[in-house]
Order: sequence, then C-alpha cells, then structure tokens
Amino acid sequence: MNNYSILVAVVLNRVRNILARTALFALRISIVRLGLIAAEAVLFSLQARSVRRRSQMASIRMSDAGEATLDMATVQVVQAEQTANARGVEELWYEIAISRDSSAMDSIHDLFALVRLSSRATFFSIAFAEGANFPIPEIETLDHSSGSDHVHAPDQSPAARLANFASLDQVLGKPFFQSEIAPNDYLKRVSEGRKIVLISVSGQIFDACWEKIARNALELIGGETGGQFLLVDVPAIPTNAARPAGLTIQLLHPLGFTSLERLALAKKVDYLITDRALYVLAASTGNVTVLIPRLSKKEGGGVELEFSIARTRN
Amino acid sequence: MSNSIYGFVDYRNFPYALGDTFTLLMNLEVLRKIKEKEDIVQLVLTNPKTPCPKEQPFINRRNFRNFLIDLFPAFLFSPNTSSLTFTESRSFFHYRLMKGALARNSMWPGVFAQARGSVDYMSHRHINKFFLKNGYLPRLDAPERLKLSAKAALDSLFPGKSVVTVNLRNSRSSYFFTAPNREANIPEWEKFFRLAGRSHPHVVFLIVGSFSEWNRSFLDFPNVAISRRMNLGLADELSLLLQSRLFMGSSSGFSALATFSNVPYLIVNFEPRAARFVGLQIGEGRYPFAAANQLILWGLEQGDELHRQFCSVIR
Repeated sequence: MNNYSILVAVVLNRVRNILARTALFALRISIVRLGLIAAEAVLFSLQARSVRRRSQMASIRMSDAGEATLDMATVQVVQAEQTANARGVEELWYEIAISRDSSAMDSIHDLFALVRLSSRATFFSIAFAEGANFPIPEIETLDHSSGSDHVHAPDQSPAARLANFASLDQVLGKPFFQSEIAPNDYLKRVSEGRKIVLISVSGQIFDACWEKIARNALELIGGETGGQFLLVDVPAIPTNAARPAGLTIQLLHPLGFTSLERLALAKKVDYLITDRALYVLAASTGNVTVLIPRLSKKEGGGVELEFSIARTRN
Repeated sequence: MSNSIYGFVDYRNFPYALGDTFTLLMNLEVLRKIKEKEDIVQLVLTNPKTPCPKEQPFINRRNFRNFLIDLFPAFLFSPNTSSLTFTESRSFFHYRLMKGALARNSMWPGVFAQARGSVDYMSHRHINKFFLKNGYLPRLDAPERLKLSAKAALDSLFPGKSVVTVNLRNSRSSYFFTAPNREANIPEWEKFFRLAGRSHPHVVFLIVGSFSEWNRSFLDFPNVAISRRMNLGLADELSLLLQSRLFMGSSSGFSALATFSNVPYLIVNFEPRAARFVGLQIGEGRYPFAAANQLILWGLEQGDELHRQFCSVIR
C-alpha cells in the first residue's frame, strides 16, 4: 500500500466518521423533537380534560347566513368577543360552515381577516361539507346572542347595532390595524387642512341615493372649512350623476388599497358615512363622526333616506 | 381509520408564498388519489413564537397575520378540501398530529417529517410520479361561487373581448424585494403589449397581482387593464385566471395555479435553480403533465419572442 492509498483511506474514514456523527446528531435532534411533539400533545389532552382550563376556552359556531353575511358575522364576532371578555374566556374557537356556491364565499376572506386579528381566536375552521369540521375538544359553545345590550338589538341593522360600541381594539384585545402606513401617507398627502369624509355604503343605498348622500355630506361639514375632500368607496360613480359643487371627489378603489387598508382609512378620516358594520367597528378605534344612512319606505310609495348620527368626534 | 387525508402545515417550515401554497394543495390532491380517500382535511399552524421559516426573516410575530390573510384565498382552490382550519395553538396542532398517527390516519407530512423539520411541500415528486403512472392529474379549481363572480366580471368589464391574464414579478417597489433574477423584463413586456395590440386588437391583457407589482407605465396601454384598480382581490384574480383565454407571466405565484389547471399558459423566465425540484431538465419546454398549449420559456423574456409564442398559442 503506497502513501497515497493510505491518505485516501484515512480521509475516507474521517468523512465516514463525520457523516455518521452528523446522522446520529440529526437522529437525536429528531428524537428530541418527536418527544416534544408527543409531550405537547399529552399536555393539550390533559388541558382539554381540565375543568379550569376548559372554562377558559369556548367555541362559537356560525353558519352560512346567506346575504349580508359579513355584516351579520361581524356582529356575531363582536358579540362573541364581548361575551368572552366578560366571562374571562381566553381562547375562542371559531367554526363556520359554508357551501362553495353560497354568497357568503364573497366575504369569507374579510371574515377570516377579522377573526385572525382577534387575540382570543386561536382557531378558525371552515367546513365546506356537511359534518366536515375538524374535531375540537369538548368545550362550551358560547351563546353569543347574550352579549351586552348595545350590541343585542335585533330590530336594528348590523351597523346600528355596533354604533355605540366602545372600541374594536378593546374587543379584540389588541390593535386591529397592523399596517397603517399606506393609508396614513395617503391622507397626509391629500388632506391639506381639509376635512375628509369617507363614504362606504352598500350598493342598494348608493344606487338609490348617491346625490343625496353627497349633498348631505356637504351640509354636515360645510361650515367647518373651505373645501372638503370626499373619498368614495365604490368602483365608479354613475357618469350621469350630479356632483355637488365644493367637493373634491376621489374614488378609493382605483387607488389600490387592500380591504384592510380601506378599513384603516375609516378610523383616520373626520367623517364616515356608512351602513357597513365592519366600517363602523373600524371607526370605533379613531376619532370619527359616524353617520349611518338608512332607506325607509315613504307614505304613498317610494323610499326616503334617513341618517342617524352613531358617533360624534370629540 | 378515517376516510380523509389530513394535511398538516406548520408555517415554521413552510413559506408564505402563493406558488408554494398551490404546490402544497396539488400534492394533497394527488395524495388523496393515491391513498383513495374521499376528501382532504387541512390543519394550518401559525404559532406567534415561531411564525415563519428562516428563509423569510422579514416576517415576524407582529406581521405574520397580514401575510396569512393575504394568502388565504389560495387555500380555497383545492376542490376536495372539506375542512380548512387555522390555529395558533402549537399544542393543539401536535395533539391532532399525534392523535392522527395513533389512529393510523393518512397524513401528510407525517409525524416523523414534522419532527425532522424538513418537509418536502414544494417538489413535484409525488405529482410527476402519479402522472407517469396514471396518465392524468387532478386539477385545482375555483369554488363555484367564485367561478360565477369571475364570469360576471369578465362579461361586464370586458364584453366581447378575449381576456389574457398576466402576472409579472416586479417586486422592486414592494417592502420585500427578493430574488432580483426572477424580476420581469418590463420594457420587453411593453414592447410585447404594443405588438399584440396591433396583431390582436380584440385581446385585453389583465394584469393580476398586488398593487406594488404592476408598473405604472402600463396605464398608457389601451389593451392593458389592472385588476386591483377594479377592486378585484386575490380570490377574484385567481378565478379569472382559470377562466381566461391564456395566462402569461413570470415563474412565480400565479403561474403555479396555471401549472395545475387546464388553462393554456406561457410561463417565462423559468428559474434554472427550481428545475430539479419540479422534475424538469434546464431548457425543457413543458412540464411532464402539461398540454400542448402549456409552455415554459427559459431566460429573460424578449418582446418579439413573447409575441411569437403568444401568436402560436392564442391563434
């Protein structure tokens, strides 16, 4: 055997030793991790059986409510969070059953965003098929309809039910908006000392009463400064619709804000005209005057637009 | 033993990325077929203490929820998922994992893979193997409701037009600029839009993707529309992609959905480094399971070549 062969044999031996040690090390790490996984599983199993721990957990079940699901679901979420707050529940498990062809699919993304931002929501489950829910421990299902009085008013619209609500941050247990850079920058650029009004209303009200809403906005804030800036949260204003003088109108959608960023705007403007529950909630974290428009039937036919002032800025 | 296949995704080992999410869903769809199960049940963990993989250091416990919220619609595109659950409780995730293992349920990735922390969510290994054996693949698809909304959006926004969806990787102006070699060659795309406008005036190119991704110069092109300016979100864009005449774009998130669908596509600037994960030879023009009008182009895109390929596919 020459020196070269010996050298190769020594190197190969070293490499083999290193590889074996590395494999052994990786195996040990895996075994330790496996042990940790098993320990956590056992811990959870014990917790789920503990009466004290279970009292800190509750589930809320929501089903596909058809039209206006996001508004109704927003009220449900607020009620559940409030009830949980009052009862000292630390973890909320949200379960929603929904079918793939239901109109609720349109708002499932917003609902997911809302629930994800709650500090109590440790679990959000969507079942697309009958009986397909991921099994959760045997914990109490919250009767969320028994929340505090000002959110429990079935004869009111979802937006009105949340109107006097203290603050979304308080319900969710942490600041709702994690990213406000874009909305803040935008408002700084466009305000130039003007009062800013955000209009975010459902299609039915917008189509019927756009001009009246815009005139009302002008009347309400007209005396305050010499020019107002109106942000309108719709894809387009009908081309034949009148635009009241004295207003700068900007459509929000072409600016490309995400839905969460548009909500973040709602807490930063001076006035908010909305019939959307989520926007009323968003405004609860800011210093905003909120007006809720409502269509009511006139005597002798036709509809009439009414405003209720849900919140006044300081 | 349950009649479902269980997917366990821990974002400690999995990137917040659109393309990887589609590959994950496709892997689950294929494994469902292999194991002959009825449906897919997914459990997704985002634990605030370990919210992201080490490859994404810009994601942390303060912003990970925003990334998850942005990605959420992608999870809706697995047609056989019967239950989709997100949790932040690591102990619950591990409880379900161990319980599933003890009940000998079909799970992917399994307990040992989770313990190793190296989970193969992204490769096409299972997908290619299934296709070679069976000659077909299950496909990703939009939920019924989103299909209807996409169709309504196409009819109302672009009546009488043929819509081609386009996604260009252009992250220079985003907060998280990574992988400059994967960026789209914007001047060449502008050249392509001009050429296509002359040769195919009935075609509208709908640019999909986040607001920071589309180049403002595209506003000058009469045959280019920007989806986010029309209040279309990610769910709408993905559904529109599946109903469009053709998809064109960078090898990035949206292209992964096209890859696992029946939509004709031209995926450009394919990353050579990614070839070995998806079972492609560098320079190969098609995935093993692709149809004749589903093509891959290598190298930085050029306007003339894009136009030539576009004409050959759209005819």
